[in-house]
Amino acid sequence: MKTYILQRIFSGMIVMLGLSIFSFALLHLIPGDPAQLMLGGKATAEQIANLREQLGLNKPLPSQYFQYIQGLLTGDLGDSYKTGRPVLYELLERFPATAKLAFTGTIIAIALGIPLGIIAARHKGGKLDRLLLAIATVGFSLPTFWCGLLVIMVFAVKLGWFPIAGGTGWRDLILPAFTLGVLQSTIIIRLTRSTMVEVLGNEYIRTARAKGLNESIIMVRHAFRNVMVPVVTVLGLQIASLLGGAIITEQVFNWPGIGTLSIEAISNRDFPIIQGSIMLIGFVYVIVNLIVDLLYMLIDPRIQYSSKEAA
Amino acid sequence: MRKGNNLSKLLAGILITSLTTITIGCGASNGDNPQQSGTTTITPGEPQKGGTVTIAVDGEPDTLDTHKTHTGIASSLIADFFGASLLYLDPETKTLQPSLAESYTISDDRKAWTFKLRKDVTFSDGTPLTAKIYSDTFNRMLEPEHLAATAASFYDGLSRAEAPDDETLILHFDRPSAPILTYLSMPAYAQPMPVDLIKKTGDEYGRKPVGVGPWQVTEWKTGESIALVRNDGFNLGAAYYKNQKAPYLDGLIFRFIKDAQTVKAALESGSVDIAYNLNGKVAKSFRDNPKYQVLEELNNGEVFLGMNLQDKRFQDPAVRRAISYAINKEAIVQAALQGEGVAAHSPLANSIFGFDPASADYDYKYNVEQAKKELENAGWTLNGEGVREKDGQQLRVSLIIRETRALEGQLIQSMLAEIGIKVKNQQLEGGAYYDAANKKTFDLIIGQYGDVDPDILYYLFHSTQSGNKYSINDAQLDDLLVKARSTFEQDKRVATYKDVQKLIIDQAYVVPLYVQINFIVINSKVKDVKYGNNALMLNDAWISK
Repeated sequence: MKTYILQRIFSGMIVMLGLSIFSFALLHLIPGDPAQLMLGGKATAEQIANLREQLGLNKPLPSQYFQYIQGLLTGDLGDSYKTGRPVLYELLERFPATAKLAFTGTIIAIALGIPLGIIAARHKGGKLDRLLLAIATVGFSLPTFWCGLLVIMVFAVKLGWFPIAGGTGWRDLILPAFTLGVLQSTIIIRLTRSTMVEVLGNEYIRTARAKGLNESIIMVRHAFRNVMVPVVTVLGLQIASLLGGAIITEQVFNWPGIGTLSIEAISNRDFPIIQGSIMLIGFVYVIVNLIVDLLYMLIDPRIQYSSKEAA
Repeated sequence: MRKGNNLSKLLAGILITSLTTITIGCGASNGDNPQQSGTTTITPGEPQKGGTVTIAVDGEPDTLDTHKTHTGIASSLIADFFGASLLYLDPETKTLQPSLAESYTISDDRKAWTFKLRKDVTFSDGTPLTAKIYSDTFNRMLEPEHLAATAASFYDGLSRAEAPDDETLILHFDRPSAPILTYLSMPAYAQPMPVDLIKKTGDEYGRKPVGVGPWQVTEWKTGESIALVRNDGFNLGAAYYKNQKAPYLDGLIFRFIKDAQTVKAALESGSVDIAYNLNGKVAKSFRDNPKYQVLEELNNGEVFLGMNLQDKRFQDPAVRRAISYAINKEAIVQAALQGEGVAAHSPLANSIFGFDPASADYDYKYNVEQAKKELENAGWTLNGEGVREKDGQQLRVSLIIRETRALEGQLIQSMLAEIGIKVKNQQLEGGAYYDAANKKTFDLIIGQYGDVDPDILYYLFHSTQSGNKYSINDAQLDDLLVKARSTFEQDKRVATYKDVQKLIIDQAYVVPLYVQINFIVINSKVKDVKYGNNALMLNDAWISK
């Protein structure tokens, strides 16, 4: 187990290294000069050339990359071209808002998705199942920005129950988290339902029923754990994706998270911020995937990791 | 040195009578308020103190250090509230009036300007304003390490500032600079800054600047908002205001909201009180609603179509003229702006001093047949594919546009197709757009500028300037542009700018497209908000409880 975790951490570091090389190269291929954007439209060619020199943008790319990696290893992600503030500071300032939205949204998605998925599976083929599947399909197909605006119009403008674009307090959180959670739950409803239907058709469920076990005990003890493996995998990916910034939701609800920061940084060619965001998102994916893999063991004791398997 | 006079008298001499900021139907949205005047709604009732107004802005500034900022929200909006300048431009009379300076003199060679400062001015932290602080501010702007490219560009030619005593500020220039007084009236770039404090606080100064304006910055919540509170010690209010002392409101919150639909919803729900520079489509929906007031003013800038004269095809004046004839500007204003703008006929926006009203007569009138004739006469004939061709060269061209001007691009594409010019639109986001413009990897480009002085034409069209992306190299135009920025007599300067505008249109170097209208939507509970010179003014504003 310990060896497995160490191996996963090592492979995670390789992933991060690859990610840093790939993103660094890709960023410098995008047209757009950060020095020009930093100095504004009225800068002279001489001023731009001087700033490029100051920023080290005239150095060969490998040299710039090694300088970046050196800083990274000492926790220095550089300074934002736009604000001049340390990238780590900018990211840490935004991350709590993103994490708050991601976790609350996910909790809502779980709270709605799993029970409704189970209910649909238990009424397979029935009216309730068809209704829930239809709702899930429609919800899955709806664009986030449209749902976001609709929710704003109804709950904030018409009913006046919640503020809009007011800040990052708990009252401000309800509408974006609700939108995000409901839309994410549609995937979980469908996944939980299909997995549950499959599990309920297994021999051991039939055996449990033949033994005369209570249906709720069968669901909780025998079926639910098996349903959870694929659901946890998808949830893990969703949380990781949301921790990188629910970009559209953040834009519509004016939520000051990593997603908004990344979009602005791309427009401004703020390379250190973009690079920092990519590394943060990569790091979150590596960690969340590791946690998900470890959770498998808790959910299904048949899953065991040895160094041999991991290799 | 010329004898100094009272500034107000002297400045009356440079009355900017032709600074024709056009005000279009501003005032209360219900349209029946007979007391509205200019960009102000005069509200009956006594102003009440207190309350905080929330203003939606469409982005977050980079920094509030006005030497370093390159975002309009900082330089054109927030900095106006915590800073003040030597002079100010009265939005109603269009004259320059005293602000931090009581009077000025100019040397005989017109290279040194001496300003006498008011004695009773303090920063919001209580530090008295001295000429030494002011001269340090200008000298800091000139130091390359502070990256003050945008700020310094307005004071082109400024070589150093000095302060022989506490009340005297002298600005030394390499050459006579006629537009300098206008630029010294911009609170964002011409405000005094506590340089010693900046040295202590470093980049963090940009998060919490200290100025001499009516408000002071108290908090910047990253990604969310910037809060300001009233500077109780403020006593510099312009004569234009009813209230020359500290504002009535307790505070202002600038909330960053990118999405226009979210701004609309926030206005409707009462989460924000004022939406700044809202697009016409959204702003129009508030016009007939008595709960809101819509103020509007022509933008101090223009959108135009530029051509790359490095390309031989555009070196042919007939091609440039044909393009000018083929563009239906009115149609673009109707389709792209829903009519919320005016067609432009001069390279200088209607709202900027020096604009030549006669340009509407000498500009190319929309005439497809004339456009075709220009090309035919110059030997550009249609080939089998319906594209104009001459000496093996085809009029297949690229048009670079920002993602926000997609509609304009499509309209131009179809208009030029009618005369046999095949346009391929390349819609780019900001970074890629500027890259293509700087590297001149375009044939046609939709450009835009904003400024307060006609000297912007020097930056855009003089052969030596980085703003001349179009590679215009015309000795006569260069001479006129230099003459205009060195001419101090106002009527002669205006006459020179008329020649500049006529020459640019005659040569069809660019196709002026339109000047759009800026909109500000205000919740009616906020009274006496003013809007002029494209600036929001809240010294008289108060909340009706």
